[in-house]
Amino acid sequence: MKILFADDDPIMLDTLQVCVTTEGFDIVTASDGEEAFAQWNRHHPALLCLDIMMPKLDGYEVCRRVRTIDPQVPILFLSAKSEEIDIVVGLQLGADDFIRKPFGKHELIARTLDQHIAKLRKRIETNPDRPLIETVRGVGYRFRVSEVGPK
Amino acid sequence: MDSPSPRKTLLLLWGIAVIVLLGGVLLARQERQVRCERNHEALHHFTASVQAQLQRLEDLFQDHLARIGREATPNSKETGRMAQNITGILQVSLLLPSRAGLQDFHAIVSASPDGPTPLPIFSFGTCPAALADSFVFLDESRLFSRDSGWVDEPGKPLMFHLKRPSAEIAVIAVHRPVVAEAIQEWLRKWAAASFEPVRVAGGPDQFRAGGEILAAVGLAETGAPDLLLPLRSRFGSFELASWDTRKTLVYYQPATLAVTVVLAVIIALLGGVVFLAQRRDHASAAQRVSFVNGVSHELRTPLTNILLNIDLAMELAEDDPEESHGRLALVRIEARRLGRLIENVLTFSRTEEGKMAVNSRACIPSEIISSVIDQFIPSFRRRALTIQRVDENTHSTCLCDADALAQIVGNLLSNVEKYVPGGVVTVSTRLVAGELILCISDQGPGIPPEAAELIFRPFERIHSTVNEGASGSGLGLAIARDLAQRLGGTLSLQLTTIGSGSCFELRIPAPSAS
Repeated sequence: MKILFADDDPIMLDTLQVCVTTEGFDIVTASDGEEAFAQWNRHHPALLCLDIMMPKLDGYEVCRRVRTIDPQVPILFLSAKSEEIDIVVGLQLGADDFIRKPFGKHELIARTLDQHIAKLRKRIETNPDRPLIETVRGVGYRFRVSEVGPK
Repeated sequence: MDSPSPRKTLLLLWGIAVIVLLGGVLLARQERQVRCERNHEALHHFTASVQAQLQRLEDLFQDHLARIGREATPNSKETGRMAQNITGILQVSLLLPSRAGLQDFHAIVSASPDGPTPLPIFSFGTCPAALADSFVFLDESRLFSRDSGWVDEPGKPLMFHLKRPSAEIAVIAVHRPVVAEAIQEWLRKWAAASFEPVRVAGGPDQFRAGGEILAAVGLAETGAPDLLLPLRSRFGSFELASWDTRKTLVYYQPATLAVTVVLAVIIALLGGVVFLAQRRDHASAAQRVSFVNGVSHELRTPLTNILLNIDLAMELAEDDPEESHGRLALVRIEARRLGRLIENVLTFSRTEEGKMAVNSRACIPSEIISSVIDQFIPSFRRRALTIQRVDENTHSTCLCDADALAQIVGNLLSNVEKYVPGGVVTVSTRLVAGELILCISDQGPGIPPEAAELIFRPFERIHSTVNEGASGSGLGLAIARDLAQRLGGTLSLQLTTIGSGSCFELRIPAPSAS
């Protein structure tokens, strides 16, 4: 599963990359909004994690553009903006979740896995005969993955 | 409770100023009626004409009466017919003198059907008081003293007497109202044409008999006429009334007007002052909110990096100690970043409170600058930024506030870190005549000339398509310049062109410590 991370802070990008690759995800990064949209077009990742305040295009605009093309792909905002209105705007633009900075690695993985699990659940519901080939590693989160398997 | 918006306050006070001004103008306004005297030549000319006509009519009437008086015979139908042809004759009497005086012959020859009844009875000599209303008292001496004349007593018919050659005296009683009405009617017709010159001269003028208007021009004023020309005749009173034109002169009391204008100006100025003060307060409050949000945002990103990297360092401590060590190094970088931000906030707070002080001590500028640059090398490396040092004789010991210098350089490099996507950052320093000159130039997007001063104001961040959305508290450059000025120096943006990077120049006194 490929995840796109967009943030203008290079240390943040580097850290996020290490965090999720150790959990078995592939990662694509972008340091501004335009690059984020271009990377999404090129790689079509399964999940987008966007900062809001980025050069060239802000996260809201990237979300809006992606949503006009793909209404299904899960989108998360990872932002230092923490006012209620910031979250409401993000959700109204079609984001699935909003993670407020600061956050730890466990919260990040749990939230990204939530998006992944929701996607898997939907796939099972729409095609129950298809075998579940997605595997997700990660100590502490495996039991949650088992919940989505066929009973 | 929210304070009213500056615009509303301004409009309110300016509205009050306008009301005061209008009220004052109304108070100061005074009106005065001025009479403009007219040329009354046409009116006087017309009055003379009326007088002449009245005299002519009276003479004509008197001639008719004299003719009847001369030709009247007692009990004559002819005399009656003649009397009836003349307007207003009540009766014609012939009096014959006798030894006892005038004998009352009462040769009544004619009586007007319109006349009063009973007919007047002539009496001579002493008149009994009880009969005074019924008798016309004729004074014999008066009748004989003149050939003809009028006997005009109040409340009694008007009498015309004529001494005939035969010593008889003809007395003709005239019903005055009938004659007066006839004359009035004649004058009305006559004035219809003769009043024209007065009409041409303009009005308002009236030619009237008693309360009745015989001719008029213009709309008469309600007040008393300015010119009244009375015309009196035996058969009635006439008058010509004329009004002059009036103009309303408007003037303003200077004292009231001056006080009002001064008051209105004071209120308007007060409105302006309050407006500016309120706007400054609102802007200041908005900037503080923005500052808190900006600082809060700036704190959260390095804090997140610290949290994530500590989690990673803990996880990797056993399996990959080298990577774990690298993560902890990042924690150090981010902690320093947090430290710089907190230092800026504290500096700003101290500046606002006026508690900022310069602590000069002996130090080596190049060492201070190098230590700051070292802190930025890892993050610059991640941004593909290369630092190039150019040092000229800055290795000697100078007197300088080392903390302030480090903070200025840190803020300038932090600015580069935020807004310059890559390239070479040149940090050149030199000491010239006890002055430290430091230039930091980059190959970033540059700063438009119109924003060259704006960027040094607190909370101001220029917006462009390149850096729109980038984070920042808006304090770094403002604090850097403030510190430079407190050190007795300057911090300025050298002229640059868009797209060719920026160049900041710091000049501060750095006398040799030796």
